Amino acid sequence: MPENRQCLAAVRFARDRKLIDPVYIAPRNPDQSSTFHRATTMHDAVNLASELLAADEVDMVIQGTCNRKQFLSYYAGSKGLGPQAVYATAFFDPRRGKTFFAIDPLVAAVPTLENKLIQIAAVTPMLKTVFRGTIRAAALAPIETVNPKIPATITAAVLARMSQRRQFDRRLKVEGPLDIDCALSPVAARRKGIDDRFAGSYQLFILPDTNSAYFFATFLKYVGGVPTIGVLLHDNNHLALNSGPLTVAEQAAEIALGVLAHDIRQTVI
Amino acid sequence: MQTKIVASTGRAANTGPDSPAIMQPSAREKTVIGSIGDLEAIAGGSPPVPTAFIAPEDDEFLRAALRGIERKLIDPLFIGNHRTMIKAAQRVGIDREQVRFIAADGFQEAADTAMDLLANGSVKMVSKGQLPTSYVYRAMIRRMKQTDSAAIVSVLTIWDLPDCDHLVIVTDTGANIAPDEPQKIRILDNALRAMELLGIDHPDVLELISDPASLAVRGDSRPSGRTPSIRRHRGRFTLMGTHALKKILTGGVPNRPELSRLPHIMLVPDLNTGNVVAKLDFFIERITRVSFSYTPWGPVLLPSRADLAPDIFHELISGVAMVALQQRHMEHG
Repeated sequence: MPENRQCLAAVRFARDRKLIDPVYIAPRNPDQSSTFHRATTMHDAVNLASELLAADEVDMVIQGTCNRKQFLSYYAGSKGLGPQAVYATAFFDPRRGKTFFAIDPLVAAVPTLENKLIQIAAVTPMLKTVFRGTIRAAALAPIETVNPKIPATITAAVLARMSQRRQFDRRLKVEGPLDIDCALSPVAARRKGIDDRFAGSYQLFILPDTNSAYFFATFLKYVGGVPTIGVLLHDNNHLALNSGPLTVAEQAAEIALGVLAHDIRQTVI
Repeated sequence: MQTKIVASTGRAANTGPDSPAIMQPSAREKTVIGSIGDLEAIAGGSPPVPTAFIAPEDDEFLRAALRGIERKLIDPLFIGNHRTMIKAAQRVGIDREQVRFIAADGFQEAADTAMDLLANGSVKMVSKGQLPTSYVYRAMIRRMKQTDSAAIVSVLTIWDLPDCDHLVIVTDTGANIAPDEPQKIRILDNALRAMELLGIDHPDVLELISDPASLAVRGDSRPSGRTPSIRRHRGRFTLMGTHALKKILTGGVPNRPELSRLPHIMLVPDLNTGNVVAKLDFFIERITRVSFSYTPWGPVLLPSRADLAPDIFHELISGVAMVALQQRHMEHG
């Protein structure tokens, strides 16, 4: 339901650059497109999109201007999204000229170690396409030492050890547990006695849980003015969720990220 | 530092989680501390505050302390390993005559001694040095439980944002791993007391819980749920809708967030979130952050071990100002 000007402009931008071949599902046909399906309610629109996905008539669903919560609940139905779903958020820090990712501000409320492994496995192919060389990931926790009372420290330490033992993709290096100040600043890491050559240059932040990831993303976007987009990696399909409010450029970038994720998935298959 | 002292207005009483934050005229106008610059102005007019430093063995902490001594903001008492402290003090140019020293055997003894001195009135403020905060928390909990068994230690992180006309307290950013409902109410009480000293009698309060989409998709439900756990608190504040942060900031206008819409107090769900949010100044450099714990006897400053001397000095200034404001509050009721 791409019913506002910004969303439509982003879809047309992506279409004109041959990133997508859009199939509109909306009450009105916005571009007099031949690939248009009329749907008057969001429920009908999402159901139809799911049917088109199942029939391989579309490869990706882009949420339009509808409410994300309702969109997801209609899409996922009573079963929920399932354990393979991961929402990857991408940020661009204009001051440092750096792109970085964070997982997962949306899906797994209190992720287990197993959830985290699924998240990492899901985003790694995308990161390998976006970044060259070693991909540096920080497993964040409130403190940089392992404390049995703080589960996030244990999970982060396990992830770092698994990385040392080469249990992840050979290009991915996970360090942790790291307090966010140590992950962001080499000076801070040094002052806390952390010998970390990646400090200040992490490209993936693995947040402890949904709350921390959500507010990490929200405050960076709204208080820090950091452009933020995201894509839901879900089984064989990908959902470009309108994580709005977005500018046209951000929404177009979000669609491009979805396309990228889809293309990688196709290559892997 | 820009000065943003503004006249406050009162607010409607807490009428529930979805109450709109409507400005209402106050019975009596009062001065509000709107920035750390305001705190600096207050600190500058105060007599030196007797301050116990726990394990001040690091150059960055000591440079901040030296600046505080030179500006006559603090009257320092260093507690820790005697030899290490003296060597470190000499290294940054602190005159031994300017400081009193108490030798302590280990971090815990140093922290316990500092808290005892704060509780008996020998010092008015405590600052942690280059040691893990857990030693300080243990000392505070031990001392506070002796006077009030229900007391809770919580960390208040104050944000000063250039585009925001008021200071914002984020809490609890350090002490409680996963606070339950009664603990959150006590954490809020601590923040309300500090906010009152800053001149806001009736602050806006937002309990941060992430977008409910995440909860809906798998039917997950977390203890904090979708309703604020502080909803039963009938204190003097306006409770804002739990998931309102995005709406509050944008005011319905996409891509144009107004930071002055930030609530005065933001209650984080747990330590994982509090830690990440409180230290975003490492990313968003326009945030000036100070963190302390507000005890019945005075502030306990909790600079991060990663902080540098200018940041730690901000914390000292804020602490000195809080002591002065507390004094005024006691004198004027």
